[in-house]
Amino acid sequence: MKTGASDVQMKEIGIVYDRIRWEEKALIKSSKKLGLSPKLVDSKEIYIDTQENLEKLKRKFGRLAIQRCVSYFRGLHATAALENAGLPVINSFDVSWICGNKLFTTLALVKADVPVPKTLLAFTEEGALKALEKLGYPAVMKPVVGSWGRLIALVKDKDSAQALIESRKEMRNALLQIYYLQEYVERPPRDIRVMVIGDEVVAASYRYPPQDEWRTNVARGGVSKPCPVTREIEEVAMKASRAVGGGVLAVDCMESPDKILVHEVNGTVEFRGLSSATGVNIADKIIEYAVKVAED
Amino acid sequence: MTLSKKCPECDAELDIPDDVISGEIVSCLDCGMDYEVRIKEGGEIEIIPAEIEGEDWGE
Repeated sequence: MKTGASDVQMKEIGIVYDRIRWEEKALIKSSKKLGLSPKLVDSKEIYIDTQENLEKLKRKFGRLAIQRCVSYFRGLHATAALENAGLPVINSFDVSWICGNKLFTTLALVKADVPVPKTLLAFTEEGALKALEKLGYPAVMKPVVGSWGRLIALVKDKDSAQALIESRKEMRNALLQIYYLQEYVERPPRDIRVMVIGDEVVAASYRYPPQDEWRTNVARGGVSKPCPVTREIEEVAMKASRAVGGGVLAVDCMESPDKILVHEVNGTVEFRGLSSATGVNIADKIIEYAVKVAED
Repeated sequence: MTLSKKCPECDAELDIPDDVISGEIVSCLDCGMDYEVRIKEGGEIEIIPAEIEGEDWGE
């Protein structure tokens, strides 16, 4: 402990949220169990003064804030303001910014030599069709920002590519005019979610897609089963976590025929499926990590 | 504080747990409408229609 903060302040850790899901309840429970007093901040009810002094912010948010907003942009902007005032936030702004965008994540992974599926970037229909020709069909088209598997499409041929691009153009969303295109990796019908907290891989699960679906997101009905943490999984996940800046992260991997590929790193993690599949109390681990970061 | 609220949509009794946290979602068992519980400073409970899923929602 380097600061002269009072015992009361030491125990105050903020949880910033916009909806209380299973995960937020688990975090509240764990922090109480570990003798902390969680400060619950509903982001929908507050404003943040960009020039507020740190001591005042600490009274509201605790000495460290765990960012749990379901809305990505809401959480990102709150993190920016809190961090700017000197309040540590898990995850940090840089990590949240990178993980909230699939392209920025891929770039960080590529730079750090983490194996990723072949990924091409295009900005127009013409460019996207050329990229898909290069990848070969089927290929995967994803929005750069988006979650729970929304708008992720398996593109089977040129006709369906054109239809998808046309509908994305109709949506008039600037981010949907960025085409993130990925090779379709032949793999067992599952992916691997590895939870990394700080310097530790705490659990991993296989995620199986529901029937008649190829996406494995738990939000789409995917099912989690425990996955042994092999040396390869551990190394790849730790490398991926470090590549994006570290924190509380879920590294999503695929088993390609010759190696593990990382296709996504999530910065605001829903860990209910992983917790129940593995029996690991992930909420406890997150709070323990937050205490450690707050003390550094 | 009272935890008894009626669904503004269909007037059925809403099932709000005693240990409810501000921001928690309760669903009306009769009509399926989702409400967010807000606990005001005096401890009074308010329910408002839950936010609809935004395009940037999720992990």
